[in-house]
Amino acid sequence: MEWNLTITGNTPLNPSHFLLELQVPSSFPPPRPGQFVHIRIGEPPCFLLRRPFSIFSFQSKKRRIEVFYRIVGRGTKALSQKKKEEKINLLGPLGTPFNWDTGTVPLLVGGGRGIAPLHFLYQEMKKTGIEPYVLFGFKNAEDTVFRERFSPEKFLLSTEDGSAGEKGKVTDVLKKHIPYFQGKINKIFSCGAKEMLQEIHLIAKKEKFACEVSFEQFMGCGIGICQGCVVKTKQGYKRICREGPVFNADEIAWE
Amino acid sequence: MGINLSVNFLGKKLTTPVILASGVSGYSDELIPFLDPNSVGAITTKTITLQPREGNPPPRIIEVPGGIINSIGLANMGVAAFIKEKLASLLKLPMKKIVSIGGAKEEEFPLLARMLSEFRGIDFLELNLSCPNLKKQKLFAQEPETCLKIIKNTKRVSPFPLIAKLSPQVTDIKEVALACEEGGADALNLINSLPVLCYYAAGKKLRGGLSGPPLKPLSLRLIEETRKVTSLPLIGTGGIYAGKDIIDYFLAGANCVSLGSVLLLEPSAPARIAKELKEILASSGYDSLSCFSSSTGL
Repeated sequence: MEWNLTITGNTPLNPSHFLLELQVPSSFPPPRPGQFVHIRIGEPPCFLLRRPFSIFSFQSKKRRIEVFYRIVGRGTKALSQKKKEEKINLLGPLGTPFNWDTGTVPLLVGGGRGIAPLHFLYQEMKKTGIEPYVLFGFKNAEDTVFRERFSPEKFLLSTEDGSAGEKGKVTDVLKKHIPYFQGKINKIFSCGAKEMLQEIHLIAKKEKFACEVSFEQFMGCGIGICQGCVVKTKQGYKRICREGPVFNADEIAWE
Repeated sequence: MGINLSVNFLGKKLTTPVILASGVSGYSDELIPFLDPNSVGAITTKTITLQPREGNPPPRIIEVPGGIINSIGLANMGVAAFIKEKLASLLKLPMKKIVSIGGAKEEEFPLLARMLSEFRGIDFLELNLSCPNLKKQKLFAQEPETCLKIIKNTKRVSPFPLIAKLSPQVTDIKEVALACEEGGADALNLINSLPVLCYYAAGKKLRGGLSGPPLKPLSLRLIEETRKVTSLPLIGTGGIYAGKDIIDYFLAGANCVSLGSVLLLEPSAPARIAKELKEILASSGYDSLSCFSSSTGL
């Protein structure tokens, strides 16, 4: 589960968003959408904890995984400075993935960097003949990366400042379009800030859609030992790194 | 040259002086896939309490410059579930087994020891007298008389040697160490994490225990002071990230060391650290750790 991988690319998509590409050996377990890797950014005493990142894509033929990240602190800043051919140590693939089956008609709702696991989910669903509806919300037009990767007829975009797509928070845009989705979809998959996930759950519950959410959370060990990353569920605290990051939204004890 | 890292600890042979600290080894099952068992002398469980504890609300762990602050709050399944679900697989491990126990009240320590007493595959009990993340105003480890009483009462019912885990937040560590010795402690573990507070976002604070590199000089000093007044075996804990850190602990008077925060970053660290320790000994012309017998007094 611990790997020293070669960086095959670390490309800026705009000043704050990057796409990291890593070569993985054939023994690397094929990851499933929703799973994450726990990256060792640097050495102690500067970096004492790894940073978790959802897997953005997995190309089994090329043996590559991709990680989409935004610079939010000194860890991601340091990651953005890593160069092609450098080695990077990570643990993974870790965590519990999303669930779907042939009867699932999905809507994927992502906020900001929360689009990462949903992009992977989209790719894997398409392989099984499922064409998901997608709604992604960003702060502004500059952040709206990867929109060309989704079928335009099933893709909705929103920005908080209205500089691209529809203006407003992604949850408000979803509420506005609910009449369109009624009778079409039966499950929402979402990743983003906790407040956003809570609103998505409320909408899903009202419309009787199933709902799975993936939490973004700073972690300790990432492998279930330290219990540093937890979310309150109806059965008590559960570990985001182990029982999550994907949870059935009905299980969460939202505050 | 074959280097022998084994140490004698309370009459038992540890393959290496490297102990895995409580809290970063879980109940052992999640960590085992990452470990080279030959590099680990002993493993310490999470602190087990009488009743299950769900632990503190998140956030529970934060990285600060140079260190880590955690506030897990002794989240654990409680002793009954531990015995039923986790103990059997723990006892199959090749390294020595330390079960950490914690009481909300003084009288819970002997109760816990009694409940575990029939499981003779346990090698040692560690009494967590110093968790910084409970609502109690004072830690047990800050009251020498309380330490003495807890250890004495636990000793009466425990078939296992007792290790007392102490806090760095005391006026005089020597006084606490001597009280533990008088109570019947067989060994001391210095130190638990240091109670601290940080603001991780505007107006949002985390009170927790500081661990990682900043703890090492603090722990070394407390070990050196403690070594002056007692010949009990000492486990040195705090900021060990490399083989050379272990040498410093031995020089200060520790007999064994325990790894904490490093396991969060590098779960396979014990093998690397044991290898580094061997290399240091080899480069100095030694083939075992007996060269430190003068500093440890044993």
